[in-house]
Amino acid sequence: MKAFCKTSFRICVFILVFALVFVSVQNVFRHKGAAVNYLDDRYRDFKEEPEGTIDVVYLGSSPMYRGVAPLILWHEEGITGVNFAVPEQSAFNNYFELQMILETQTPKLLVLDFSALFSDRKADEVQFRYEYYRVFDALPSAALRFEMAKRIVAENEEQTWSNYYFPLLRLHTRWISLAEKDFDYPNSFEPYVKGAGLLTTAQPLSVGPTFDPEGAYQYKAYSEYSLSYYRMIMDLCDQHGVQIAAVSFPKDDSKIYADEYQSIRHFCAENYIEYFNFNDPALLQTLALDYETDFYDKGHLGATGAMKLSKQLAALLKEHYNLADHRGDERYAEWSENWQLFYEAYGEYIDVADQPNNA
Amino acid sequence: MSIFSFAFILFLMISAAVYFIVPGRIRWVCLLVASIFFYVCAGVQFVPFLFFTTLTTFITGLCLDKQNQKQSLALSKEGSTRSSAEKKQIKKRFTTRKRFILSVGLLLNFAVLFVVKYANFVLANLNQLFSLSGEAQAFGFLNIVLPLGLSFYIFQSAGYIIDVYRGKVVADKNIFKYALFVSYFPQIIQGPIGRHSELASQLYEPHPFDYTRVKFGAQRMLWGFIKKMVIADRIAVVVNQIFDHYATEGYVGFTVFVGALLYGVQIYADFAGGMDIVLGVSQIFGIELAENFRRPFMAKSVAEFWQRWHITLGAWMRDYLFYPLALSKPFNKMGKGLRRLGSRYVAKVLPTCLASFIVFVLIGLWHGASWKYVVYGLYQAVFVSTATLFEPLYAKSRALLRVDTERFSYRCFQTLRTLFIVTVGRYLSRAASFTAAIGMYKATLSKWNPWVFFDDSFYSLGLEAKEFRLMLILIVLLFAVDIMQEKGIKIRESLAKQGVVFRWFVYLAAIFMLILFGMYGEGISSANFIYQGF
Repeated sequence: MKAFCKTSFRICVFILVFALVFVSVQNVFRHKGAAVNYLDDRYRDFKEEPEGTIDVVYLGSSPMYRGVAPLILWHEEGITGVNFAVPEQSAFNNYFELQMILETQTPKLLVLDFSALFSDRKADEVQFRYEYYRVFDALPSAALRFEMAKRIVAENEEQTWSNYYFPLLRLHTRWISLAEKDFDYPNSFEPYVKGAGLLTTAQPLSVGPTFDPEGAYQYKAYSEYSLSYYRMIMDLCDQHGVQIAAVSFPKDDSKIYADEYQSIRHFCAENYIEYFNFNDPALLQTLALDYETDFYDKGHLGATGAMKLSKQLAALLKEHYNLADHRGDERYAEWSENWQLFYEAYGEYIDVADQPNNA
Repeated sequence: MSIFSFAFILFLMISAAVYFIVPGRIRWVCLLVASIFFYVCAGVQFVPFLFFTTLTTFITGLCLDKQNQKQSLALSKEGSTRSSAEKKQIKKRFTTRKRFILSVGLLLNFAVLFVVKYANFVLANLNQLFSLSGEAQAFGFLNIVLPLGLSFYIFQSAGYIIDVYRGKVVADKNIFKYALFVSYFPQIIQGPIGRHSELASQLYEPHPFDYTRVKFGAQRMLWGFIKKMVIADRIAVVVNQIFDHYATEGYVGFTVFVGALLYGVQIYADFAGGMDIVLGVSQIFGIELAENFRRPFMAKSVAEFWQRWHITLGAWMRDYLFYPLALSKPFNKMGKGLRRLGSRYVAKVLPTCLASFIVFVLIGLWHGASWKYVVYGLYQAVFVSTATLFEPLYAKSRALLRVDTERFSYRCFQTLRTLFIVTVGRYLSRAASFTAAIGMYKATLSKWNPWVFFDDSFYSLGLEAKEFRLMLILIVLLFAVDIMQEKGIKIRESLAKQGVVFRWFVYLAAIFMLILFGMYGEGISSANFIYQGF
């Protein structure tokens, strides 16, 4: 009996030591920072926002991530918001991000770009798998992670629990590229930008805006899988009293995406969602974009373009939604401080965006 | 169920837990249920093959056993009153009957093996013959998937009924126990080929839980996983690149030879790693399976190599094919005939050399249904046979040159010579076809390019520099362990005597070696053993 207890104790201690070493090694191997679009930092920073202070959240993909600077909306109209958009994001992941948001905040408005409406982007497809890993690894809530893993495993044949709960098993090949930053990682995403991923280099566009809203376009077919998750997002918003606005961002030669804009417009009309398509000339001209300096590439605004769009978006959201102006409210004093920091970092782009443009 | 899945580990843990919990008299039932479950997971469509072999060899064993008993009875009954001629007559009568029963049993099962594994090979060759005479393809191919472990359990069962025939073992009377002998799950994937006399009693007897034994079994499994997933599968990347693309990429000279050399290491790590897992699993249950490898790269001759490589297949061939052939009347007659022609030594040795040729051709064919495997077998046979045939000449040469065979340098020479010969043979077993093997031989000889060892060209063979260097370090580790074992060092026992901190450090290092350097995950498949395909 004594020997049995001694052996059992030793086994338990060994397992404990193994688990500690495993977690430590896993932490080193985890993707951090830019490799996961700073999601881990951004989710962590968001958890520190005082409860009930965020009025608008932005979910979507890279045009949203690059194109919306929440501090501009704060500066213009006193609207508080956090940008959760990230390059290449699926509706499934947007749904879980929204759940995370609603755990600690009561936003009035969700701004979505519906970018994933037309493709499944399922975890079984190798090119999309990392989208799921980066969100799962960064999600702070154990309950949400469990639900997310359960759904992924149920909906995808090749995905297993171990893929998600033991990231080391899928990241072990990173031993080849480990560097100092993997061992000693500081939080490198500035919290004052509130999630915006502004691009400070610019490239002139070759074609310019070409979308004609009066044109005859076909409808692009929805992905039923993504549609189901957008519907779940809409239901969740209904339950929590969150309104939804849809946005499409300016792109070069925008008529290429006309079928998508057509389908999004139709979907929004069916579901009573306000749709702001910044490729529509009526809206586009309000941005006064300079096609030489305001774009990073054909599909993404540069920093000055983002400032212009954010400014216009602030006005639109103020006009269409009953959003409070929190400027002067002591509870939001930190936002004014953040604005100072934001201006120090991006002032030159803000000033350029503020100048009248004769382009 | 892949042996490299969490499902298998869970299956093993549950099987072992149930095995040690249930009463001793039904522990063998647990093993049987686990084995059947394991086989069904491999593919329920393969179960009829396993069932067929189990049933036919069980019945054959019973019939043979009955004849053995009748024979004993006939000889013992009034035995003292029978003349030796009468006794001889009785024995002949029973031998004829037993031979018939044995032949039926063997034929039924080897026919299945032939059809499943070799029918398409035969049909392809027949089509080739017909095409030479201008006929269109005469025969279509059979669409049959090779059942898991078919060769292994058929050979094992065949060995059993031959042993019953010879009176070495008594036939199993319990078909369920016998089914366990045939289908025992750790060994069904790729052996070892067990003997009923050694294995059955271990399977049927209950074994108590022993912590040290279970710990040693788990450690052996861990080492097996490292050999397979960390070493073999990593080497496979380079080997596949060289063998699959030598023509398109223009690999020549030492690059190709290194590919063959690495293939030898890959297949060793793969197969021996699999054996470590199988033997480790069995050790957990208290069952000691036969070793299948004994440091083959330490061999000093090709013959010795085959005594150290896939030992149980070699032993099977020796006991059930080689000796019956070499000691058969036709071969004896041949030997006597040769004695009249010349050297007594050659007369004595040539028939065994011929038997050796037959055995090695069959060993070659056992690996696969292709002419390259026939040539592979012949290649091995040439070296084994000529070594025996010309041994007096070699001994004279060594004496003339005053070669000290005990010197370390000479033993090194022997080992390297054997490695070279075996590596040249590897071209045949790994290349896509006999023609491809010839092409690779030509490519090897077409250029003398030792600079490939220095100009980083090896880093463009599928593994980048760090991975390639890691592969080399792992190969050194593999052979370091082999050398220690060859010197008689029992590593697990030695480790068990060390302090807990050191021991745990080694265990954790091994586990994390597998986790961090294992070739698994997205885009990598380490699911199958090479020998699983046999």
